[in-house]
Amino acid sequence: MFAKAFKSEAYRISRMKSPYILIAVLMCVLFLINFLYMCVDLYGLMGLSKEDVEQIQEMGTSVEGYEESFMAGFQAGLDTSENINEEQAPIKILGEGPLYGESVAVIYSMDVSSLYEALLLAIFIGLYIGNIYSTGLDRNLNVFAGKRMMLFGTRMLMISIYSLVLHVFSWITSLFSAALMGASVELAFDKAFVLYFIVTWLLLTSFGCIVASMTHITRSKAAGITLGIILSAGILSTIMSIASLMLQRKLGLESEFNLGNYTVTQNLATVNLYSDGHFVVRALICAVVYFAAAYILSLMIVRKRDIA
Amino acid sequence: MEDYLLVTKDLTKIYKETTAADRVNIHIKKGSIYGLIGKNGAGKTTIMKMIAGLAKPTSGSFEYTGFNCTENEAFSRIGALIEAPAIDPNLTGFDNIRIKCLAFGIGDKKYINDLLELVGLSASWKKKAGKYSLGQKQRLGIALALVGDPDFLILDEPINGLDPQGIAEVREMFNKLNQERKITILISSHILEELSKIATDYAIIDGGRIVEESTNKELKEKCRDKIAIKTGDVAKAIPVIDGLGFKDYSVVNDKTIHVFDRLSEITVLNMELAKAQIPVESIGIESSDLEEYFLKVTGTIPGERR
Repeated sequence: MFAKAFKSEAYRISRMKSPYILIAVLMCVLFLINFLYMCVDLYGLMGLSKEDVEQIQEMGTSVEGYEESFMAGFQAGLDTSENINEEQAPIKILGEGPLYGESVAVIYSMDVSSLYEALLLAIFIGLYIGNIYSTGLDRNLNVFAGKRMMLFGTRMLMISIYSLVLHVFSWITSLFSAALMGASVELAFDKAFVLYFIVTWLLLTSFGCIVASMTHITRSKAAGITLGIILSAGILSTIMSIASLMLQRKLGLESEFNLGNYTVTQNLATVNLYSDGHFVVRALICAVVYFAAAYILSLMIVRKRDIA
Repeated sequence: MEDYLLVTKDLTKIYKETTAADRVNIHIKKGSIYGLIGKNGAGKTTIMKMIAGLAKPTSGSFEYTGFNCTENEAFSRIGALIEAPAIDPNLTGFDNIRIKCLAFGIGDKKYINDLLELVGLSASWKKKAGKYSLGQKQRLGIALALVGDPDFLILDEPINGLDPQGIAEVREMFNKLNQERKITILISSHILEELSKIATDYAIIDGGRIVEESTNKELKEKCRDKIAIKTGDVAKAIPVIDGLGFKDYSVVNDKTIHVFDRLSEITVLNMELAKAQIPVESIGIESSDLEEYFLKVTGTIPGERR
């Protein structure tokens, strides 16, 4: 039964236009982002030379580091106007960007953290699951009792597969970007990359399950897509920060505590190839917990409800 | 009992404060075409949804006695077209059917083409379903209901949107499916005249309740032109009617007699009853078609029973 439902759902997706269009949009957007980070001399535009950047990197990027250097300059009584040249050098836009010369894995990690995959996955899910309710498709399929659970599981599997497809196409875009705009094509296909790929894919699937759950509950394409946009655009992060501050004060938690660290999208945006074990485990737990919660919640609702 | 395919027992569905179906008892015989007649909002669709497994009854039960299998297996032998056809407008007619076929494990494209031909859509299989006319969408809905060769078809207003020629074609198709493939059909329609051309059994539903369940023969009998006599003494009136040589009559209840032949002799009959000193409350010729009868039964015509 599962195989039949899988074939039917796979055929339905294959006949939809949106999955292909969304992949094309993803590739274009990521290619443009890569172009920006590989071919645009962002440091140069900020008036920094390679040496300045290296110096900053050596100094570290911590708040304390910035504060120290700021105070040092302030105390020395520097007259900044002395450093302004009368004749400005022409601004050079194109050049070696921050990601120029980086491996495919690093470029890919940057692409994933942009959350465009999540945004486009949300649109796909809104259309894929929303269509079931707008067309009344389930009325055709004689889905009842056990079959409804099975069909629901099949659809979640399809979402997981489509998120994998998006993930793979992101990597292909990173590869093309490196080949066309980078110094060399270094795949860096190592253990860290494989772990990163799996963790981010699971996070993406979990995010997809949340959006699917919202679409199932509301039976609305718009609701699912809107939630997806809110989550992937980081609109909730302000609320998370306020809630974190309140929790810090009420429960006496450490100042580093941030609720956002326990959300799927924040983990997807911040986990990287060099994340330590603690970070990766937290991301994995988030992926599993959110997936299970969204899956169980929508399953409970779908089971109870009549087929519309 | 063994002749029945489906029997419902006090089937009830309550949506919040509205009782959409109220203790519904219907008996659908194997091989019959069962017509469900009712006004908009009478509860026809709700009943169909429950027996198709799309909605859970609030109380009561139904049993597919004719299938002799588990409830889940029984559901898989049902084809349903309930409310609007469930069609993806962005896909072609062919693709819409193929999605259901794959879910049923049918991979043969010829099967789909045959179905499209059966419902008269073979010429527009490539067209997107969103561009179909209302009638074509209805035909596609019927084709979808037929996927998997069901033994029981549930069709909610299947002739909606069809032109007169389309109605005749679909009627012919239902008759063919019923007679050749032995498919039992439950059908609802507002066009009672059309329904009367194919249905073998009927249930009239009003306000969620079954008002009357009868066979086509019984219903035709009720709709025939007749002399309706209302008298306080039925027992005394019968010998008078016999004496006059009337043979086709029936005693409806302890106050009413219906005489179906020699309608022109109503005056003679009235005189003879008077001569025999039988109190006659009313005597007159009644005639009604199915639609009129339905209106009377559901109380839409003032003063009639409900």
